[in-house]
Amino acid sequence: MKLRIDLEQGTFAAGDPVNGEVVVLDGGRSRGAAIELRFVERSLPFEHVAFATEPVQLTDEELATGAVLPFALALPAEALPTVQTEHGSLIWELRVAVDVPLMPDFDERLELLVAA
Amino acid sequence: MSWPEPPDWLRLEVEPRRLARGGTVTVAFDAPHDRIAEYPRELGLACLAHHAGRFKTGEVGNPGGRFRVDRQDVVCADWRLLDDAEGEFEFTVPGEGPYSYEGDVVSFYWGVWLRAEARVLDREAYVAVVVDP
Repeated sequence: MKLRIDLEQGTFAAGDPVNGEVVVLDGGRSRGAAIELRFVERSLPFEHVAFATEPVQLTDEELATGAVLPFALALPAEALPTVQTEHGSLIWELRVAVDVPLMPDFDERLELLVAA
Repeated sequence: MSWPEPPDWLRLEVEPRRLARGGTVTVAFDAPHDRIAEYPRELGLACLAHHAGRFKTGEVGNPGGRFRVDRQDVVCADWRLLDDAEGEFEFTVPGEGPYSYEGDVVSFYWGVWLRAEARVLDREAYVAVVVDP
């Protein structure tokens, strides 16, 4: 399974729409896929999801190679900006979770740059 | 999180105590001459990251076990030599730096610190400053 997340823009601010599409580069057996925005605290090797939007279902069907799944999400109005330091980071990311039968879910992530 | 109290011989006035990134903090200080002359100290505005790290141990009963250990590190700081008994410094919070945040695996705390010269972790005094995004 291989996915690519394409976005309409590169830098975001609180409240901005986050629109794009998930391209299935290499499909496989699945029961569907969902996408969410997450605010993640990261201090390698630990991470903690401090906030996540309600997952939006992209499809309930098997992911076929070449499929394109558009999505339209939005950052919360009070979204904190991205911070990256040597000793820890606060980042927003898009996460696509694919429900694979009788296997751990597959996921693909893409970090967003959120400015103040 | 608990912090040490400033020593009773040092008077610190920090304005404002809450500001946005890119803003300026003014720190006025007043201390007896003999204390300042005792050994060099620096006054600074610093951001400390409290963050989770991984520690591998081979202790009895847990050979090779791994535990989460929280660490403190200075993320950014601006230190000024305290070479007078009273005065005022201005510190600017970086516009793109960390803001005050208290989380589970990462927290960022801003404050005004006094330290022995060039000894980053020898913190002697603290006045909290809240930095908004």
